[in-house]
Amino acid sequence: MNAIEDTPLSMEIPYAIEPRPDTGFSNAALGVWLFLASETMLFGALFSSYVLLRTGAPEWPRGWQRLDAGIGLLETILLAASGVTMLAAVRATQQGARTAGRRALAITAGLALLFLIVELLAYAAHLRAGEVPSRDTFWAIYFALTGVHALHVTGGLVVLTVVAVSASSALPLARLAARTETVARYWWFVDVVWLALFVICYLT
Amino acid sequence: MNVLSMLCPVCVGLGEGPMAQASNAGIATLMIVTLMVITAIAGVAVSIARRTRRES
Repeated sequence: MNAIEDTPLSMEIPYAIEPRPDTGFSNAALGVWLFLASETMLFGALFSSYVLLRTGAPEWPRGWQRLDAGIGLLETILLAASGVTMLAAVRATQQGARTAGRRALAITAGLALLFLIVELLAYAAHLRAGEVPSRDTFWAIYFALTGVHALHVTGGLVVLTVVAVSASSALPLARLAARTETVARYWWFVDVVWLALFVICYLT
Repeated sequence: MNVLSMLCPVCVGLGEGPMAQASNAGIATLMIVTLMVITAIAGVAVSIARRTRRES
């Protein structure tokens, strides 16, 4: 037997959890940061479209004249609370508290679901009132911005549920902590985008 | 439809109209976002290069 045959075959991907010593990033951390960079460009393009439409319009309504700022505030509170519970999940999994981490992840997913329900109810009310995207550019950009964001929340909800379920399994704690931290980065990004949306759609 | 109305106002030199100003504002916004992302990526690249030099 030669040396290669003596070496046990391993499918373990290096630096999936622990950071590479030369870069300081794990694969997951680098991947999610690159993904967030592309997401920033996507929302940047949408915000740029908003600026173009608003600046070019002869007149533009104030957000609170057309939208219910109370609903926007409620959605903001839901997402801000989910950001805090996500932080609690990261801390818990890093400290090895699997049950507390799972609970915090489940609460975060629940808050995300509530956000989506409130958003869908708001959409339904707008559509019933004839406030559809084709009515004018305000509604077009409102539905485009908040719709793309809601899709991101939906994606986050799916990933949060998967991580919460995996927290119940025999997944090693280090891997669970890495997964939670990765999804947390995405989730906080979604929170920050919503804050910007709340300001430009509801408050200006 | 008048073909001129379909042209980009900035491209045909009508840079003073409201749509031209709107286009400029939109482009400026996108440039700011792009610059922020590129600066962040460059910052990470420099940080990795420094760390690699320190490790080796």
